[in-house]
Amino acid sequence: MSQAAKIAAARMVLARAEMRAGIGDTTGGGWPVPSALAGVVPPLRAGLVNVVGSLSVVLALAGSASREGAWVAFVGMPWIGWEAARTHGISFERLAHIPTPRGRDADVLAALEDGFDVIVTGNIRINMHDERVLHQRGRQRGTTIIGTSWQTAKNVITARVDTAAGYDAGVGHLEEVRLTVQCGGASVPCRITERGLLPGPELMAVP
Amino acid sequence: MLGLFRGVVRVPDWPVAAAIASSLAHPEDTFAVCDRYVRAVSPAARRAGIAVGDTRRRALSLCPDLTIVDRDDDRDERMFTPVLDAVGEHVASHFLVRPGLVMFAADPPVATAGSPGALAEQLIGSVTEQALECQVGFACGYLASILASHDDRCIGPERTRGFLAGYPVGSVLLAAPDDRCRRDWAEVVDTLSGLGMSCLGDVAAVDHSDMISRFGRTGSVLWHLCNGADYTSTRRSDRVLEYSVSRHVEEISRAEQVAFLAKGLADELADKLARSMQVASELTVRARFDDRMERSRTWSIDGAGSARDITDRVRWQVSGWLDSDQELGSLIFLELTVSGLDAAGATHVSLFGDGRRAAEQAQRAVLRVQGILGDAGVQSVSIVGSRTPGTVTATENWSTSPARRTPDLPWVGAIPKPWPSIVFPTPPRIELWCRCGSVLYVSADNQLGCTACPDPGPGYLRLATPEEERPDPCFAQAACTYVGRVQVWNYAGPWCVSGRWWDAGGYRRAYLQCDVDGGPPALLYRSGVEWYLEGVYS
Repeated sequence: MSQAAKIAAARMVLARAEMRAGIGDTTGGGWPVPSALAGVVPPLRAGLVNVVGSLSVVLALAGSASREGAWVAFVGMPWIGWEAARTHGISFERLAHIPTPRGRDADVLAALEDGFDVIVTGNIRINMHDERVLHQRGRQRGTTIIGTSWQTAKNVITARVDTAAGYDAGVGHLEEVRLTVQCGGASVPCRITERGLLPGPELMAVP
Repeated sequence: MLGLFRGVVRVPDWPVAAAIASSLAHPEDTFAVCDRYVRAVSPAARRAGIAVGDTRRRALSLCPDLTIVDRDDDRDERMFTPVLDAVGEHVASHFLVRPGLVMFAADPPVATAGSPGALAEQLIGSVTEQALECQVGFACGYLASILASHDDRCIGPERTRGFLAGYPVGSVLLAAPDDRCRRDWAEVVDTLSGLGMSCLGDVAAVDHSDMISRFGRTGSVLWHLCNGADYTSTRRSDRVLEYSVSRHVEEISRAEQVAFLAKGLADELADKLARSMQVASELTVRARFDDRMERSRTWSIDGAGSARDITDRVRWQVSGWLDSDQELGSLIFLELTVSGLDAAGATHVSLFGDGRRAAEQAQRAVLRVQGILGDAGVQSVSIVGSRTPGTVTATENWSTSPARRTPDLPWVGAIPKPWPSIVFPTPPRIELWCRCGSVLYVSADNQLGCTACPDPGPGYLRLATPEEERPDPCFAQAACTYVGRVQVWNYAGPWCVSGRWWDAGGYRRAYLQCDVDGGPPALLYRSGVEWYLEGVYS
């Protein structure tokens, strides 16, 4: 075996060990995002991202991280539909649900940043200063915060519900909700279905 | 072949002594510690003719005014802690065979004290401060040392076999570590006596392989014991121990003062742990407040036993109590107890960030949040299955135990999937009108009905203004989604779902999916004479 081949083999073994230990993913590329969004949304890195317009997209982002072993906490969201959350891949074994932080929002978030990989925030009240501190702390501890209305967030994912399909005038039932997800300059159509978030239907080109 | 030179400290009739020490009986009383059989008797009861091993009924018939103290192994262990400490003053490392019987490797402490006699004198001096009487014996091997303690003797290595040989076979049961073992051994001992072996010497003379082929593992253990060898199934005495520190303080109500106090106590505790070369897995914080309120909470401190870790937890916990909504007043007493002790070096932190480590970190974070919000502040969720999105989950106070797994079987008559991503725990009330503008309802045969027109269908919906002054967050969330009166384009349903008819939580609802102008689709239901918003397909 040549020198180069030995080094390559050693690198491969190290990479595999890192993968198995779960550190290769988080330090380098961040948590993966659902395949339907992969084209427009970058992997979830430590920091802060705002998701506006669709809770399903939030659940799908958290769910695909949870599938990879991330610990997820929900703060201030008593209204989550857990069946939908499970559909999107959220593992209830690695989940903490804090329905209302009761005025201690900043303290609770700071405590969670020490132990959880992904924190999803809903109805919370924190001031600008605390936001900055938490954002910075999260980035250091390797925590991703998915929020809705953080003022300091630079990354924003916007979703718009277009139509629901599967029923008409009382006949049939809702089978999918079509939405458009936009991040940065790009946008992608997707569908919320029984099997989670899927890529949207191919649009026919306008002749 | 001969076992280690061991010393044994024995407190005769320990259950009796423990009952006296915990003020359940007086030394002069006629009393016995019993479960179904008599386990130990007081001197007065022994004089009345009651013996260990009698049935409870026989004991009472012998002595009608006998006081019976129920057997309690926890009490025995707990009360024995001071005796262990007293032994620990003279002997560095000792094992607890059972409450009332402590064993130690005798060579080093005997060398320190000068002679076995001198060590025995010191031990008896210390132990009798804690218990009524105590015996000390030395010999080689496990069984021999226990038997030696019954006679307060010191048996040299060369005399061990001869010393053992004279004892009846049944005396081997004294070395049984627990009840189950004792039962197993008693069977073998019965057989042995039936075969004509009455003394330990007879058993020792049998060939080892014969004992194994006839009695298996138990036979081998007994043979070794009878030959003065060791039998190694002892429990470490450390396991019953715990360390605690406490302090009474002037009224404290500020977080900074708490931090200061916590630091002092934690340093003291960590120092105690470090001196005994142990790590703890649990920390109990107990506090008393000036309104006579007491609070206590146990933290897991696995792998985090430094003074700083302890300080942090005490600080979080006590500040949590001081900030809580209940008026507890200010702090006047604080006690920290560590338990679940183990030898330092036995636990290890894994090298890579594997799942266990992540779980520990998450657990720690959750405990801290529970310190801030109370136990119910953090919930874990499990799916229990249901026909409607609102009742599909169960939440309970957070725990690390894996969620209950329910088989993923279909629920007949359930609302069609996918289910909404927003499900309101308290569904807000809404108003729903027919396309013609009049009130829409669901008839008894599960059809939409309208008060005015023959072709009913939902036309508009609006959130009803809640009666309470401070609407709950669900209403606020719903109000952001549907502003004012919105038009309904399309609908599916109604489907009738009823459940829990057998108890007070029974319901009967008609569900409707609505496609709404400029917003995500909604899941509505009608219950009684009102429409409610169950969820939103957001």
